[in-house]
Amino acid sequence: MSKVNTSSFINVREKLKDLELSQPQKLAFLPKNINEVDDRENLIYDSSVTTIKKIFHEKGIDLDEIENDELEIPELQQNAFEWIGPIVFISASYYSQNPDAINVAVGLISDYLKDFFKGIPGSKKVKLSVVREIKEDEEYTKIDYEGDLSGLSELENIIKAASNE
Amino acid sequence: MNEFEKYMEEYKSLTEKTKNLLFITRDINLQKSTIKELDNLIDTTLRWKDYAIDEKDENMANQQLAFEHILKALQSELTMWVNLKENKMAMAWDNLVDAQSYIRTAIQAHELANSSEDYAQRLLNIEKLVFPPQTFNSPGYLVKQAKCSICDKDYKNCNHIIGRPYMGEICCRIVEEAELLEISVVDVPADKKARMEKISDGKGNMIDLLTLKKLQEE
Repeated sequence: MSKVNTSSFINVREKLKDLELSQPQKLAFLPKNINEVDDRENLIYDSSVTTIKKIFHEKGIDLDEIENDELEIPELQQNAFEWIGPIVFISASYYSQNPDAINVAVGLISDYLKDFFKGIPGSKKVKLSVVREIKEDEEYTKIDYEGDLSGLSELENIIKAASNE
Repeated sequence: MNEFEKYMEEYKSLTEKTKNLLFITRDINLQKSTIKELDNLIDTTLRWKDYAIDEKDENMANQQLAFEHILKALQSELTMWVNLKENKMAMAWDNLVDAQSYIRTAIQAHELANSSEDYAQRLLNIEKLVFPPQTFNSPGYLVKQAKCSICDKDYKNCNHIIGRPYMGEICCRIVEEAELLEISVVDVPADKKARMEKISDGKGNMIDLLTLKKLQEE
């Protein structure tokens, strides 16, 4: 059974500015605890982030990096058998120019996960969050998905519904 | 018939024979002798993989990687049945986990192993029917430095993807520097060998969690 939780999210741009990190213009991945830390040295990514970045680059999708050269954000490896994705951030301007952006991003992750779960029978549990900037530097929505891989395809509609589109 | 065709005939014949022995009722000596036969065929498979790598034939190298792991999965399951009959329960559990891991690698390695999804399901069914439910430990740690198993570079700076085959090898991330944060108790771990093996009964005895046998005084 899948669970979807929609909530308003912190002002991402303000937070990135406070932490002296770069402002994403298009698509980016956010650390899992970005809304909790006051010191950028405590930021953590989920361990899937590097591989997912590679998958996006492979498909020619341009990503923004929030970290600058002197900061390396470590990755949290949790060895329970579920796949935990990075937080996908989609900027307001990028979404307005690419309304299919969520579909493409989730589709790429979903395709990768079909390979990832090959040879593993039974439930294929996935956790993925998307943060959408509704109004630049003002309004943000976070959608958390937790459930079977097969349910990910519904995420685009859920995100659009959550954004009252 | 050329050498490779002879090898493929032997592969088909021995895998069929092995599948017919993957039952607890089969004779243990037949099972043990087949485990040795599988060793020989795995060696031959590795030689064909080396040949493919020398020839820079990536498709063949990945195919041989799949064959190697299918054979190792079958061998591990067969060993599990032998160990169960010989009352070596912990070893039998490890054999089952190995078989599950090998068949996953085979399926990742080459599309010709896609039909082994049914076999992966069979192994999960054995886990549920033959062994009791278990409790596992799962470490959580911060990865600070990791390299790619294919090119030895920092995993962040290469183009290889974890779980994909490259010239007869599956890409893995090798963690070189990490900080342990926690150890959790989970029902579905990534590593099923990280299980709780024994527990105190509170009366001075340690109890084996697979057999429920008393092991020793605390």
